[in-house]
Amino acid sequence: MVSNIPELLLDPYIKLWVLLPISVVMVLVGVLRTYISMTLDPSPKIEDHKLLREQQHIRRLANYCNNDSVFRNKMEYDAKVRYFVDEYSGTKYLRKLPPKDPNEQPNPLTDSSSNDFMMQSVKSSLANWVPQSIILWWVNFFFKGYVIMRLPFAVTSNFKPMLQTSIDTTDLDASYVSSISWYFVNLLGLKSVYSLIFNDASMVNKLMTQQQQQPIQPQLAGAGPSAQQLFQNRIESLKIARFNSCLDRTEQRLLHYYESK
Amino acid sequence: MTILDIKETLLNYCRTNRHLDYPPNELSDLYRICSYFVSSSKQYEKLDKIDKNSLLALLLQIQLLTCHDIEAKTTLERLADLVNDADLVNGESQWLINWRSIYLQCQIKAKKSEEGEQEIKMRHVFYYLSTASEKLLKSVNRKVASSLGGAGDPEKLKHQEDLYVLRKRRTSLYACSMDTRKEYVQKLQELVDQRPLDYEVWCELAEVYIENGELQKAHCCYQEVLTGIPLAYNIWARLGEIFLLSGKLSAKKASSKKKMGNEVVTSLKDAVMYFSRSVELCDLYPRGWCGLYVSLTRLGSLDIKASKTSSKLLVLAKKKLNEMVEAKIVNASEIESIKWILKSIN
Repeated sequence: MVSNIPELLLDPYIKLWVLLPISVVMVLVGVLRTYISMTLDPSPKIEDHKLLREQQHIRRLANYCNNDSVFRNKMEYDAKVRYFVDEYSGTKYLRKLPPKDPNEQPNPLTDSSSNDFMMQSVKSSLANWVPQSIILWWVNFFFKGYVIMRLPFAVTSNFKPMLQTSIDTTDLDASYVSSISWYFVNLLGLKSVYSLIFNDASMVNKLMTQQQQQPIQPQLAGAGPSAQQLFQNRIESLKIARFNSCLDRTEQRLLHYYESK
Repeated sequence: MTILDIKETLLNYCRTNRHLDYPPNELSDLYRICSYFVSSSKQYEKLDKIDKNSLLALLLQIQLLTCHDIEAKTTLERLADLVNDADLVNGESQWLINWRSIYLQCQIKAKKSEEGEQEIKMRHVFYYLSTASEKLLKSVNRKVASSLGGAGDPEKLKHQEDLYVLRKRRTSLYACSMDTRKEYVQKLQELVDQRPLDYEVWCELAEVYIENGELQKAHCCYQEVLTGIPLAYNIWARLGEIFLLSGKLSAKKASSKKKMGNEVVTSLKDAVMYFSRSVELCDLYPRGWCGLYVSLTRLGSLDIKASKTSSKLLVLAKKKLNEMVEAKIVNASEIESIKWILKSIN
């Protein structure tokens, strides 16, 4: 079937004036963006001790829930739980005192820590998406519908949507590549070129992940349960957890293990 | 392939801090390897900044431990250069201050002559730490205040408590002199309250309690470590040792023989339990097997009717210890101690 279709004659100048510029521009913009994002990178910050303390205490309670089996007997465990109930019910370990009105929702825009996060994510996504959309517009505006090259090997027709975006000829052999598809191939596949340029693996990896995924959104204030609720939940689960010590019958287990060996 | 291995082993040391209780001859070997690796620029230069930083810190520690003070000074400068290159926090960081203070302390130890003089010099380290951390805080706060989102928000300013590394370091200085030992416990408790997941501090607190004879409290501290790291076989064995100790204590304290017997037996039985958990987790842990052997022998010597399991366990422990000695599958120093225990406790 493929042999019935005559080969397209591609103007050799297309390679020089379309294929090469797109690739070069993509590489250069990638390099530029790396340096821009390096300057925008936040320097490591000193964390707020109150926040860390709160989180670590929540985590400590969770540890007690998960690993209660390290206690010798139920009495010891219960004593600990009783102590925790007293200790963590108050506001001693909270970063901020809870609002007096329980229905009041904190405003995410006035919370200083989430403000920082938002600022950072806006910066990084701007540095990422602005150049990309500009190049996409540029390729689309000047070279829309161009068939710019033929791959030197045969590919199955499944590759058609990937390689021939913006060309609506259903019969064309899949090994022809359109300009916009070339843009996407470059976007995802320039890793080895970057690693040649930068000579630093960690930077390349960072660049590639930046290109391919959205940054994770941090939790904003007001969304999700408050720290006080978290403490209460943990204590509840501590109270109702079923106790089972791993020290029960250790000697027998040990003997059994060595006897069966 | 071998080059990669060296890098990995060295980074492994950084993670585990295993070198801190090495005997001198192994330390000097390690020093040779590490300094060669760091100075042979080819492999070292290929690493990223974080690895470089941890390797330099490792080298600094080893140099200080092997008394290569002049080289240590150079390494310190290299560390500072690395941090400056990365442009972290105005060329200064908590860790840099931490390493400098350790270097300073080592210099003091080398010059130590009298007890009183040492304390004065200890104060020097304190002084350095407090001035350096104040300076750091000032520069950080200046940066915060002039940043886009931070101006006019006093909540964003940093406090001394935020510098946890330095706080821990300052606390560790309290351990050096006998007069401040009492404060040391209090400071450790504050640290634990601040970061309850820092198990290094919990362990240190437990050891201080053991030193003071407060075994119950030490038990609680190690229990806390276990809730975070339930598979830490060495901690399980250490708890067993605490019970052995408390058995010994109650044997000394008790007035009537019968009452004494009961208490001693319960703590010895607990010790057996903890030691067996330890060796259940790690088959080749000599300290766990030794503890098991000792506690079982002591139980036997109290002439109570021994249960079937404990007599079987005793045989097993003895066999296992003998195996370790014969096959030489543990460190040389461990073998010596095992031999001693097998000989002296029967």
